[in-house]
Amino acid sequence: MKRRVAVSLAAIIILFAALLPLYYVFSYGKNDALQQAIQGGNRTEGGGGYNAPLSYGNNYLESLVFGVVGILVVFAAFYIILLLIKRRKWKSDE
Amino acid sequence: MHIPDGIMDPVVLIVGFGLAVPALVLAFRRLGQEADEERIPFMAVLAAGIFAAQMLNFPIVFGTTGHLIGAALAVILLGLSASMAILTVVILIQGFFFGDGGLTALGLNLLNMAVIAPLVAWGAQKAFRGRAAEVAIFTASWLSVFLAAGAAATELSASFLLSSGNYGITPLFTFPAMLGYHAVIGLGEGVITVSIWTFISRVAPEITKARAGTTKGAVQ
Repeated sequence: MKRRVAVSLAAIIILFAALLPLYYVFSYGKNDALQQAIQGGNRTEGGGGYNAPLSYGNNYLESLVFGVVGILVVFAAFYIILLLIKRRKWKSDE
Repeated sequence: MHIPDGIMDPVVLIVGFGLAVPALVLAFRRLGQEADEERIPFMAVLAAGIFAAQMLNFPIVFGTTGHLIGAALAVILLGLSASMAILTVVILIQGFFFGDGGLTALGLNLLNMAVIAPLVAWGAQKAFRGRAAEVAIFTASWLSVFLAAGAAATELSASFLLSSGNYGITPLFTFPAMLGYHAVIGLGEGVITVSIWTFISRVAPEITKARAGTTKGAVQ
């Protein structure tokens, strides 16, 4: 099971690294649909007063590094949250 | 489809939190009761994969891009509660770690992508029970994106109307823009979701068979 999870995570990272150049060729710097609608509606994003510690990067290497960090953080966060919820349930069952 | 700070009327932001939080608490609670502990790593892998996929915007029309939401994929592989939980964690990490989507708009982003999109995908799959798996999956994927975008358009319009034009975007513009773009993005979501489903059916058929039952190979 552990090996299968590790292989799956590695496959996601490899696929991400392989597809990232296509993002830079075709999509980088372009608005997504919501941003396009906001721009078309003559609105500008306002600062929420919070500066995130990471970004998605501005070149392939940065995006690859931050993407891998994000992948691992999401994996760990979900895993830990679900385990905590399961343990809490077990305690309440006892 | 991550709503940034400074766009929405405060009342709409509060309503977003008010609707999203109870639904997600229920989803996590149900998942905690029902989830097999052995499947948690697989769920976490899917969450990581959806995060990666959401980083890779693909081009659509008029110089605009879109990205996978992944709600339908998660519903198909793991069920409604797991899908809602996965999207919640992904959106929280995106917001707090990467500044993708405003923190004041977190409730609305959770409502659109972690509540409405999974619910629509789940409902569509139920509605398409008995059809070929690919048809049900594609339709559920497309509808999940289209109606989540419709929800975002409704929120933008409500903000505009509630604030007398100080926030949001006029409904005359936001509905055609959001629904038009996302009708195309939904096609991409459908193709990607069906492709991943087909791939997993071949390399790990036990996963898709575990979800089999109502749509000739898919859907719970």
